[in-house]
Amino acid sequence: MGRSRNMDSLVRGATFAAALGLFILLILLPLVSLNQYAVREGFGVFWDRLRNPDAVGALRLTALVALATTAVNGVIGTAMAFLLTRYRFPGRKAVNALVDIPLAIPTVVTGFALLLMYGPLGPLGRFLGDHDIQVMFSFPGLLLGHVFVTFPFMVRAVGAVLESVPRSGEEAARTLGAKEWQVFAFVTLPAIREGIVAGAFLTFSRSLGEFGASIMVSGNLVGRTQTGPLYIFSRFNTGDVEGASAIAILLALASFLILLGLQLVQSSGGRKAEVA
Amino acid sequence: MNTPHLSLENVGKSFGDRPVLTGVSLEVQAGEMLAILGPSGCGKSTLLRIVAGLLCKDRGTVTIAGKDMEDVPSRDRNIGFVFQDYALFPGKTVRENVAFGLRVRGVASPEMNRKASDMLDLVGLSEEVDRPVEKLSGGQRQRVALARALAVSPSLLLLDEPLSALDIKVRERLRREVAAVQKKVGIATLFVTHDQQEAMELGDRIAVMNDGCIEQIAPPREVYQNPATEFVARFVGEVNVLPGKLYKGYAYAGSLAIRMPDPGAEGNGGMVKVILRPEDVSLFPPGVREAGQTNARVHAVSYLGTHFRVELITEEGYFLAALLLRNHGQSDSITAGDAVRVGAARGSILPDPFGAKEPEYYL
Repeated sequence: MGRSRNMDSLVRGATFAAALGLFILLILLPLVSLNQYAVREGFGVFWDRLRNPDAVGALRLTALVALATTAVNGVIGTAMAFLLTRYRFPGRKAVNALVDIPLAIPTVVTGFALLLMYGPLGPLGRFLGDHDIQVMFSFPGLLLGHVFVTFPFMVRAVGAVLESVPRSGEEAARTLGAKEWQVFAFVTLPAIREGIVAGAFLTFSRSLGEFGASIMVSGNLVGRTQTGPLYIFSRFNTGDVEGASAIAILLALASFLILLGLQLVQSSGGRKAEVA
Repeated sequence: MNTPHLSLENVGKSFGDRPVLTGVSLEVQAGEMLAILGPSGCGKSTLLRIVAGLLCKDRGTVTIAGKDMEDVPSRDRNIGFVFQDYALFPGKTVRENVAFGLRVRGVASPEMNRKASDMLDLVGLSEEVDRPVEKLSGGQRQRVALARALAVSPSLLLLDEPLSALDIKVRERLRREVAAVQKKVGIATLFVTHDQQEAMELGDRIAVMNDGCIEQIAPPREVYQNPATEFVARFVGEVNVLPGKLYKGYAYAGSLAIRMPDPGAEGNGGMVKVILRPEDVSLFPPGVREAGQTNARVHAVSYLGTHFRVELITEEGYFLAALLLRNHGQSDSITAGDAVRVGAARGSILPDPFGAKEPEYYL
């Protein structure tokens, strides 16, 4: 009896120590060293590096792309989730499986494929180019890559909530005379709001850190198509470790805040659901 | 009777290759409450959802107020629907829930609020108008659902097991309230339930459903006392089913004579199924048996509060259940093993001859 309790506490202690060790080795120490590099020459220099026009441009582009990606996937991801959970149609299972493809394909492959299709080498790219529409090495190309890579997040976040929302609410609205858009706006949308917010946070933070697809489709043009992560990579490659660190710290901080926000949203959502 | 408010003709529906409704026809008159009674899985909810336009039928016609409902969406059918889980809109107040149907129809605010208040008065919830629906009890939610359905002044009210999620006390009280509201509004109502007591108390008529079709539509008394099929007989209450031989207005199960409600309608000598309710079985102290009685031995006695339920085996070997009122002379002393005389008041018959199935009703 006493022995097994000792064993229990031993196992618990070992698990805790292992988890703590991994946390320190994999997350905390790298962040600390990042921090050290970023502020090694003092906060003034750190600040200057952040204010470097190329850095500011990269950060602004990152934020813009992430916002646009979130907006686009907010709409089409929600629509897809709605389609998959509320309708039965032939091929539904196949479509459902395909939604997760972007998680399985290496992002750099995604970017490469988009580049071959829409770039100067691709038939569609040439056709669009002839009509003065340049998709690759520009904002639309980045958006396309990010939308593809982050597509599953919104669909899954909204889909999970939709599954748990009973249809009788929507049906009740219909019998009460609501038109389909009213059913969606007054009944469905309020019910899945938390799923949309969670999906938006996930999409946004994934887009902030996107690298593989971005480097292929953007051309990494400084001040024009260079996003934050690409800026970090380029600076590091040219030996500017401090410059890379400054932006890296900022992106890490942003991700951390988003994660915190997501936790807050989800825990308040959970409380509300309990009351209902 | 004038033209019915709702009429279904030969409505059929399958899920995949599983038939759920196999040709259902019924009519609901203006102001009438028709209860659809059946076991779970008999298709009664499916039928209600088809009437509401929430589900497409495979064949047949649905006519509401003289208008064919083919291709008419739910929102244009002018119905009120109360769901089993109430389906209230979360995060909204009682008033907002009740006013929803008026809001989506673009009714002006003052008119909308007046109507919502009227409805909440009707169901006795005027004190709760501004509370969020999450704070209400089950019974209150059910009343909000009813008020919400009635607020749009529908011509037909559809209730899908509206009381089944409540506990028994609340259920019995609300049952009467729902009946009162329905009569007050005077709305044609189709009401689905698996609870035979609910159907009896609420329904002007009862449609008993089994396996996708209706076995009988009749007033509660008729369904109970003169069931059309053995399924109906068994579903609306406990029943003794005995093989009987017709003779001069009586059916004889052995020497036990059961008076038929409609003597002379049947010929003499034919074999029939006799439907005998336990409360129509009478017990007498042992002695010389009179004509039409039989001797029996008490097999078991159970106390049910208002009644004793007595299981008997007659001298011919039939198994009989009898209900004895608590104040019956013998009820306090009767125990298993006692000898009794048994008589029968009235019963009904089903024309099906027993044929080879006879032995299964013997012990």
